[in-house]
Amino acid sequence: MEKSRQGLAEEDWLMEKNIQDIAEEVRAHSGSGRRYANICFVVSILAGILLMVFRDDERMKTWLAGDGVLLVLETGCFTYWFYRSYLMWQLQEKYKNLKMEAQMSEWMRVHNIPIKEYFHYVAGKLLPYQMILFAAFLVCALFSDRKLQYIGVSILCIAVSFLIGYLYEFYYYKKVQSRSNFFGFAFLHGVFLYVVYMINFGIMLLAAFAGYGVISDVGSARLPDGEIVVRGVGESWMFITFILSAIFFIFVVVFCSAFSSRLAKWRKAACAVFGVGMAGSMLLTILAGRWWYEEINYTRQEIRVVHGQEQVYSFSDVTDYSWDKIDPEDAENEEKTLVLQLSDGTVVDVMNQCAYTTDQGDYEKKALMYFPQN
Amino acid sequence: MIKAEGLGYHSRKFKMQDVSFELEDGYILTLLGKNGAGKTTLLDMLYGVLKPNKGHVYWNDVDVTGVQAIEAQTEYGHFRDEVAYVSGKVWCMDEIPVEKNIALFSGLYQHWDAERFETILERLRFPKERLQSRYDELSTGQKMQVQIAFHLARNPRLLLMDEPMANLDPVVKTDLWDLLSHQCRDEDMGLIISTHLVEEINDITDYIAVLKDGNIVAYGECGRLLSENQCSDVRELMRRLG
Repeated sequence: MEKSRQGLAEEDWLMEKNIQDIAEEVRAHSGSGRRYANICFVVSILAGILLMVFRDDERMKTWLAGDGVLLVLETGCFTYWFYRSYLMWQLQEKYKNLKMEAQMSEWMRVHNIPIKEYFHYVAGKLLPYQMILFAAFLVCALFSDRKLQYIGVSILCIAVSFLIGYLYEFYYYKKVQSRSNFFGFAFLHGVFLYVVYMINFGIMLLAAFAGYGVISDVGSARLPDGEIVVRGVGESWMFITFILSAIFFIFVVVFCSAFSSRLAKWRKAACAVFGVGMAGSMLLTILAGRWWYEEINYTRQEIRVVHGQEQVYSFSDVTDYSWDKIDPEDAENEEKTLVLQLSDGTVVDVMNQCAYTTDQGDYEKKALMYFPQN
Repeated sequence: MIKAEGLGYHSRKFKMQDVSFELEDGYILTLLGKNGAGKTTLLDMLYGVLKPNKGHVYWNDVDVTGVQAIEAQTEYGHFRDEVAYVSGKVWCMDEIPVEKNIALFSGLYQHWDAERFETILERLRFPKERLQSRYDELSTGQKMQVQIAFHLARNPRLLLMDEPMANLDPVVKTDLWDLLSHQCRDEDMGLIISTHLVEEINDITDYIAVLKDGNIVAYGECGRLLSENQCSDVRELMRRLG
């Protein structure tokens, strides 16, 4: 009865080969799951390229409030892709519902298919895609002046995908290991789904806050006389998004319970509410950024006389301007100041009397752009 | 040889305690009992898909308690290959053809024999053309025929069967009994089978275990058990004990 060492090795190989065949067969029947996952992946990559190419485009800044939102979408898209792909590799599309999933865990148990080997194979098949995404981000980072941001997001994406893989393997392992339902695998699955969605949502929220930081930083320009204009617009929207996330945390109780047998009839409703909530919060984040940017755009057009009689003018009020030396008698100092002539006859020295903000944070550069030195 | 020693399992609605017995290769043990008596639970524990709360299962003196529930491991490779379980559980993919299912899952077993599979299918009167059908298109009886043939083609040392006759027509049922008894007598295969068809096992089974509310209330060699309880057949024994 004793098998030789070689015999055992050969048996292991056969087992491994057959596990791979089974996984491939399951994947072949994944139907629309595979399509959705692939669409998510392509969108994710394209979003990265789009972000890199059009990062400085005015329209993109206007509509997406800079690149923060795009990064958010991209990260969310990729992690969702990973989740779908993971399911697709082990569950036929019909197997999405819990009953069918239970059937699959049963035949895995009956044939004693090693869960770890199965999952390692699946994870291995997904690895090239992770690497493609990682490489795409690195290429973007190479051509971008925000290298750290790109590298950070790519690492985050990969880390989250590994976390999702680990969570699902743990859930499945537990499920196959025991047929008892004392804790409720439906509940566990509900928790798993919730965690996946929360991870995505958390990333989005995180990126939104990061975006907030970036925008608020560039939205305030250091004025020549040392004052700092701090823009508060958008904070209320971010607050709303934050509150929404807190509500989702409370929602976990309802959501997970809905997957247990007693409340199964509410499952669809719970999912719908959750889906709408997620979509709503994403929309709010985008809108917040959009509104915010409008404000920045608006303030850029503003000239505020802060010394003397306080008055606000727009660029269209400028009838003429000149760049005058700060000290005409000092031959060594070539530093110039911008002098604006406004429609009501007021003449202001911008350096000493005015304040206006730009979204670039470089007052001199912006001033030169709007009022070039001849 | 398989040996159960003090097996116990409890869930919210069911309790099994202190089940012990052993069966040598080449013999047939029939598990009898009403629905819910614990036959399937016991088979699940023997096969290892259910880990008992207490007690042990030994396969040729190696402790294999709950091994299927844990994972296939090299040291249990023999058990995995040598013990087969025909049950009402899902054992293959519904949506793909029978042939494809067989090709996929047979590769998991070292001693699986394609020729043997075909012979057994033929003997069980399974229509060959149905092998191309999707598994979920088969009738319940046909599904059972395929499953039985699949597991017998693994050439197991011990076969566990959970009410395999329930959906088979009388002719196939007779063929299956013949086949199983031939496998046990001539090929030294052990068989533990649960069934409600008490009138059919009189001349076939070597041992009987009667389960009631999770306990074995009677266990022993068939003839001895009948004479001890002054019964003429198994049906009468069941009336008295079950």
